[in-house]
Amino acid sequence: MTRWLVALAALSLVAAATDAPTIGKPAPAFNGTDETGAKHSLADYEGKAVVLEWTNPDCPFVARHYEADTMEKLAATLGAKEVVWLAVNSTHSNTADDTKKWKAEQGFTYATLQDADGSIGKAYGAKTTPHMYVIDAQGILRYRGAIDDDPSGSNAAPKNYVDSAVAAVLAGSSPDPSDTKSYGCSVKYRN
Amino acid sequence: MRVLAALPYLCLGLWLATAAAAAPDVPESAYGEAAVEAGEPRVEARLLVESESVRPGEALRVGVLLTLDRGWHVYWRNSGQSGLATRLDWKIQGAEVGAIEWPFPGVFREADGLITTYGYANEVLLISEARFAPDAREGDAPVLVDASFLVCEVQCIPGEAKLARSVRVSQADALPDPELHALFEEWQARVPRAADALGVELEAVYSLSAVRPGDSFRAALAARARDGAPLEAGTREAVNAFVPDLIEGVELAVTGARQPEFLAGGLLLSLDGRAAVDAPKGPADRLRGVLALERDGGPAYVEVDLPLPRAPAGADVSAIPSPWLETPPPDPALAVPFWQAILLALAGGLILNLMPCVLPVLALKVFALPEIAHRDRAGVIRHGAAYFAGVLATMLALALVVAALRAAGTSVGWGFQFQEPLFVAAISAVLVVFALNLFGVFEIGFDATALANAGAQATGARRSFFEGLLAVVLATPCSAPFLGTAIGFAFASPAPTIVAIFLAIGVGLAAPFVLVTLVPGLARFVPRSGPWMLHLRAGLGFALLGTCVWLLWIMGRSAGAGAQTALLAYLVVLAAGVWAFGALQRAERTHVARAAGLSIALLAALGLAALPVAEARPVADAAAPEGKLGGAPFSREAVSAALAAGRPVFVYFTADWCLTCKVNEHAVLSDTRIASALAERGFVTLVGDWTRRDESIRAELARFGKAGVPLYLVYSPGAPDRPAVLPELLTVDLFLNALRAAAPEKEKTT
Repeated sequence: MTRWLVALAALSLVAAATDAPTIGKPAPAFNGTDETGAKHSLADYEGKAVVLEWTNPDCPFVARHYEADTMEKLAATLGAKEVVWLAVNSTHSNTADDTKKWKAEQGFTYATLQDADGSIGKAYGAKTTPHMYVIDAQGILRYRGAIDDDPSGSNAAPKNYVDSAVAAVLAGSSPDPSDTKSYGCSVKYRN
Repeated sequence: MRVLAALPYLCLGLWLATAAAAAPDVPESAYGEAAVEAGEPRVEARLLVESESVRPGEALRVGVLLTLDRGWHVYWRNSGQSGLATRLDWKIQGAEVGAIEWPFPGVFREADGLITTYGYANEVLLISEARFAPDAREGDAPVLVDASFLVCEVQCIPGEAKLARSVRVSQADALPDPELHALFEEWQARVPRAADALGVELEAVYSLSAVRPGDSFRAALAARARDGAPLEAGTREAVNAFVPDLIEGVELAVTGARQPEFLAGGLLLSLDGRAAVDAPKGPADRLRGVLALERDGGPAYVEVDLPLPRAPAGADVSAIPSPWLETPPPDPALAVPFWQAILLALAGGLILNLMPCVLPVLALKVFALPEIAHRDRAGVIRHGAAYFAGVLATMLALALVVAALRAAGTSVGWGFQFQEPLFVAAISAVLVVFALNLFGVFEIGFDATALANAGAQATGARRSFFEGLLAVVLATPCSAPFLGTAIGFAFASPAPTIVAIFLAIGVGLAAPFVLVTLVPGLARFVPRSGPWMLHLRAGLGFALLGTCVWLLWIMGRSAGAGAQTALLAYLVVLAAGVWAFGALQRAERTHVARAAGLSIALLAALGLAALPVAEARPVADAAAPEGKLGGAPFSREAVSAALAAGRPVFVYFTADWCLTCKVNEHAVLSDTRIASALAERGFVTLVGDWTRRDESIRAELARFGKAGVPLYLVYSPGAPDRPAVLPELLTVDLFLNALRAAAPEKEKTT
C-alpha cells in the first residue's frame, strides 16, 4: 500500500517539473498583453532595467503594500530613472476590467500584464503575490524574491530589496541580496 | 496488518472529529473569532490552559486551539513557498513562556506542485510551556496571548485574536481537567522529538562535498530504528513525510521516499536542493526539519537537525557519488499492484483492437461474421472459442519465449520479435500463404471429404484459431494506452506474472469478437452469406498482402534492399509451391498432395532459414527518417549534454515495425506547428530507433516502466531528472502543451 503510494507520489512529481530561472542568466522572454490590450515583450525594453511585480488585488499582502503605497511610490521613483515597472497578474480568474477598476481605485500608472493562463508566471517561477523580479538593461535577471524584509508588516521601516537591487543594477554592480525568499499569498494559478 | 497499522490514525481522526465538534468551553475573554469573510469567521481561536491552577516553580502547558472552516489552513513555523508562519505572543504574569511546540504539519501543494506550503487544516493546538518562577506571586495570574496568522483557502485572510484568561498560582495541588489533559496529550504526541529520544538514527548525504551559493544539489536523508524495526513514512503520501525548516538561502523539495535494501528497513528520502546565489548572512549549515515515521504500527515524529556543509562562492567542492543519491528507476512492479496490472492488461488488450497494427486482422474478423453467423449456434460459439484459444495459446507461447530469453540472459521488450528479420520473413510467408488460401488457391487440410465441403465451410474453426494467432502476432509491435504500464509490469516481474499478464492481454484482445459470437440471434443482424462471400474472401486476401508490403518495408529498412529482394523472391517461390499444392488437392490426389504439402512446408522452412537477412545490415543513412522531424540518435549522454547546455529536449522512441509510432509521427510529429514550436523553443530532438535490438534503448524504456515503443519524453532543463512522459496516442495540442510547459518561448537572438 505505502509502497505504491510512494511510487504514485514520485510519478506525480515527475509530472510537475518546472523550475525558476537563474540569477545572472537571461530572464525568460515574454509576450504579454496589458489591461488596455497593449502588447509588452521583454525585448521591447532592451536598454532599460525592468521590474516585474506579481500582483493580485485580492491578496492581503498586496493590499497592505498598496495601502502603504509601497509599489506605487517605488515605481514612480524608479520611473524617473527610466526604469520600467510592469505588474503581472497571473490569477486565473482575473480580467482586464478587474485590473482597470483596481488601477482606478489605487491611482497607479504602470501596466498590468494579463496572465490568467499563468504562462509568464510559470516561466518566472512566480510563487507569491507580491513576488518581485529585477532585470537589467541587457535582459539579465538580477534580483528575485520579496519586496522587503518584512513579511508580517510589523516593521515600521522595512528594508526594500527591490529599491536596493535596482540601485545596484543602475550602478552596474551586483544586487545584494539578489535572491530572497518571497512572501505572500500563493499565486492563484489555473490548476 | 495494514489495517491494524492504520487504526491509530483512524482513532485519532475520529477523536479529532469529535473534538472539533465539541471544542472545550473557555471563558468569553479566551475565545476569539478571526479572519471574517462574508460575515463568517474562518477561524475560531481558544486560549486553553491544561490546569486552572499551578504551583510556583512548576510548569503549565498553555495553548491556542485554532478551529478552521473546512478547506482553510494556517501555517507552520516554515510556511513554505507562500503564506506566513502563525505567531503567538504570550504574556503570563510570573512565568517564562517557551517556544511553540509545533505539531507535525501537513503539506499543501498548489498549481500542480509549483507551490508547496506547510500548515494545518481543520484544527491545531499550538502548545507552549509556561514555567512559573519559584517566587511567582500567589493569586490570579493573567494569561494573555496575541495570536496572528494568515488563513488561506484559495484566497488568504490575515487574522488576529487577542485572548485572555487567568490561572491561579497557589501551593494547592493542580487539578487538570481530564478532557483538557487528554487534548494536550494528543497534540503533544504529534510534536516531533529529538531522534535520540525516539531510538532513531538519522543521517544525511549530499551530492556535493559542500554547497556553494547558486549550487543545485541532491541530498538523501536516512532514518533507521536503532532496534532495527522497519520504518515507513508516517504520512499518507510518503513524500510528505519530511518537512524542511527554512534554511537561509536554501530551498529544499522532497522528491521521493523509499525503503532501499541497503538501509535494512530504514526509510530514505530524496531531496532536491537549490542554494540562492547570495551568500548566507547567518549560519545556514544545518539541515533542519521534521520527519513523520511509522514504526510498529504507531506514529513517531522526529526533529531533524543534521549538518549541511556550506562553502563560499568559488570554493573548490567535489561531487560525491553515493548509492543513496541514485534515483531509483521508477520500478513498475511497485507502481501498480498485481490486480491493477491485470486490469490494465485487460483494458490494454481491448484497446489493441483499435490500434493500427491489429486493424487488418480485425477487418478479417468483421468480414468473417456473415459467414459464420448463419450457421448453427454451436458452430458460431465453436468459432469464438477457437479464436479465443488461438489468441491465448499464442500469448502463452510469447510469454514463455520472453521468460525463456530472460532466463538465458537476454532482455527483450514488447514486440521484440519484429527486431528479428527472420521473424519478419516468416510472418510475411504466413501472410502470403494465408492470402493464397483466401484466394481459393488451396484449402487447409488434406481430408478429401472435408475439402468437398470447403465451399460451405469457408471459415473453419481451425482458421479461427489461426486468426487468433495472427491477431496476437500483429498486435505485439504496438504499445497502447494502459498496455504500456501492464507490459512494463510484466517484463519486470517473475515468469508466472509474465504469463498471467500476457494471458490477460489476450483475453482483452479476443474479447470483442468472442462476445459478438455469444450474442444470441446474431444472424438477424448480418447479411446472409452467398456467392458474394467468395469475392469478399479475395478482398481480404489482398488486405493481407497489403500487410505484407508493410513487413517488406520493415525488412528493407532493417536489413537492406538485398534482404528485401531475397525475401520477395522467396515469397514468389513459396507462392508457386502453394499453387502446386492446391492443384494437387483439386486433382483429388490426396496422398500426393499430402506428400507435396509436407515437402513444401519443409522446403519453405529451410528456405526461410537460408534467407540472407540475419547478417545483413543496412547502410547507415538508410535509416534517415523520412518524417520532417528527424533528430539525432538517442543516448543518455546526449540528453544530459543538451540539458546541461540549458536546452529543453524531446526524445521519442520509435521502431519501423511500430505502426502506432508511425501514425503518431505522420499525424502529429510532422505537423508544421510542432516543428516550429520545437525550433522556436530551442528543443534538441533525439530519436531512439528500436527497429533493431538495442540494449540502451530497452534499458531506457524500462527506466520509465515501459517495455515497448512508442515512448515520448519532454525534458525541461530546469528539471533534468523529471521529464514529462506523454501518452502513447499523441494529439498536436497535447504535444504543444507539453512543449510549452517544458520550455517557455526562447528569447529572440538578434
